Amino acid sequence: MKAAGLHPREAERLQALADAALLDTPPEAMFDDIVRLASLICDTPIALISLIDRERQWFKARVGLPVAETPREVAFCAHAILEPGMLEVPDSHIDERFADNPLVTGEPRVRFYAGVPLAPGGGLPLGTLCAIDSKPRKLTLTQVEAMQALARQVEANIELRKAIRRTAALNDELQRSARALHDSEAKTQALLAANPDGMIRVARDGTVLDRKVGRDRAILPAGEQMIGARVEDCLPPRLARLFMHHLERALSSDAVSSFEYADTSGGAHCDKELRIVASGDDEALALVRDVTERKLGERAKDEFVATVSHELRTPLTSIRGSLSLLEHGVVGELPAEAHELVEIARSNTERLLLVINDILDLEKLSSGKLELVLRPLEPARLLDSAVQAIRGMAAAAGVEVGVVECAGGPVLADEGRMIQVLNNLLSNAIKFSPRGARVEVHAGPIGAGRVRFCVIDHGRGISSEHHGRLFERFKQVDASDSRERGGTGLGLAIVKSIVEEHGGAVGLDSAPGRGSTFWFELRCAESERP
Amino acid sequence: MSDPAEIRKVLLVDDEPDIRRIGQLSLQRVGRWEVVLAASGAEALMVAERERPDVILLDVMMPVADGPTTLSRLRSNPDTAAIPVIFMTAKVLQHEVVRLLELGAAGVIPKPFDPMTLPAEVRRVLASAEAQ
Repeated sequence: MKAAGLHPREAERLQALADAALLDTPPEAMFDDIVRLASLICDTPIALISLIDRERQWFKARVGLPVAETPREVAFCAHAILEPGMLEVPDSHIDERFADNPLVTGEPRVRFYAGVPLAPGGGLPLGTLCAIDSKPRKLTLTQVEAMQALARQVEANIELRKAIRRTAALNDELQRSARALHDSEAKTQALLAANPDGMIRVARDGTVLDRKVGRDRAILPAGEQMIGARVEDCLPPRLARLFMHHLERALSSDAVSSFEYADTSGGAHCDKELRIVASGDDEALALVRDVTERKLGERAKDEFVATVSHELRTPLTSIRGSLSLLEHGVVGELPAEAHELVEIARSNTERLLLVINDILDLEKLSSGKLELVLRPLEPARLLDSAVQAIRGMAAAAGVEVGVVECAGGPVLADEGRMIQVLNNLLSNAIKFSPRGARVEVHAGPIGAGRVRFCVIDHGRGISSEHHGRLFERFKQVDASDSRERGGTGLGLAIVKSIVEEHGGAVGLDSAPGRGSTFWFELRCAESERP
Repeated sequence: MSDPAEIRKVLLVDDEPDIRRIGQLSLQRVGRWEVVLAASGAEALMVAERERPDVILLDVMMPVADGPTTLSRLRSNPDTAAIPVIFMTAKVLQHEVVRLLELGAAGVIPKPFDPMTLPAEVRRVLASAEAQ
């Protein structure tokens, strides 16, 4: 007996067989009918659809044979799949490949075999459609053609099953995507519903694409007819201009562009905040929120702070004035101890007034009420003015203050506020310098269009863990500092607020025992020019 | 008359009694001037007419008739129209100061004032008003 060799592309062939997903599946009427037809047409007792697996042939459909599979080495079909067309063995007894084959010498005593390879889609052969008889014979041309036609039906069917499986997989995938999309849409809708803001989707040219009414029904100026209309036609002219300006800004950056405006369209006065964010290349979402209550709260807080500080300042002013008259002997000379007590009372009054003034400054800064008068300022002149103003304090502390270096073009800043910033930094530096030490200031260009101002002391320095907190309100490294050194604990917070109001940044380089360098950066006046 | 060297009598108008007392001590003891006081705009008009002070220090924020109202009433009375008036105010924002000067004041002294330097401030303001 001569066993069949392997197919030249056996590994691929086995993969194609696995992909067909036919092996070890239950019988199917369609394939059963085909083998019955093959058996009838060829007039043979046995007909099979045999699939050639790695070690076996397995019958997807069979008539006249009681077994479901046989070893591959004895399979006629293993030979047939190597042939380009049909393999016909008219008499196995005189064919040296099969004469001593156990399927020939034993049951089912194969004498005649005709097998057409099954290669679905013109690909690799997976098995055969075959007819078997125990008598020698030869198929007529008609029978051969019929077998080939039936084999094509089997191939077409295998292809069709594959297509159906692919479609089902695609369908599953589609359904999963649809479910995911639906979930995502539901989440978005939930988010939108939970968001109290009114919302409109608007194109770059200001056309309203979509809208959602907010919790405050009257939040958008017009009704449903807004959709498709232009913003210019729906909003008052000034508001429309603001809207278009911020729309352009939002579309040309990733940032949210927002503004506040007063809305009287509903009859009553409302404060509203409008935020615009790009939601595509040429469209944006505009969210409108009623901030009337927040504004009322802010105004109430401002009034409260102003009232409290006025109520504190008025009596303090009287106390300070009285103490000053007493201290200077205007109403008669005081005994030495009384003089000392008056001096204590007066210096503490000064401190309280400083705190109140600082709180008022911070309040103005945080509520955006600080009006900056920005103009180009020469760093050298700023530093000189600041150093000049602090001379008295420096002399009293026995500390020398000097400008060591000054370069960089004019900065765009408010002169009074910059003197305040430098004064706060310089007075800190002096307070924390030992007698006889030197405090240095310098300014120089850094990066593109910015100038960095530094105030350097040779005091005890600050460990890095405290750096972040220093610029917060009422934060000093050591709580005893404010008593020992004076100061309100608000100076650096004010520095930070003023510098940030200028669009600048503040920072600190310091380590224990190495002194401290407090710095801030401002934009150059030139960098403002287009 | 507004020659600072010839000041003899000052009218101080403020609704806060403590401020009046401190100002009075400052102007009397440090400035060596005679001081007359008024607690309201209405009282100021009467005292000014009666006492004919050389200068009036006028608080801006007062109930009923505030500083600017009182100034215009002083100006409309021929007996008090020529007396220089210096406003005293805690609002020292530049545009506020400009507004007060436009009303015809000789100058503005910020509050809170230092009683030891208040008389010198009054002289300085009058001198600079005279110079213009």
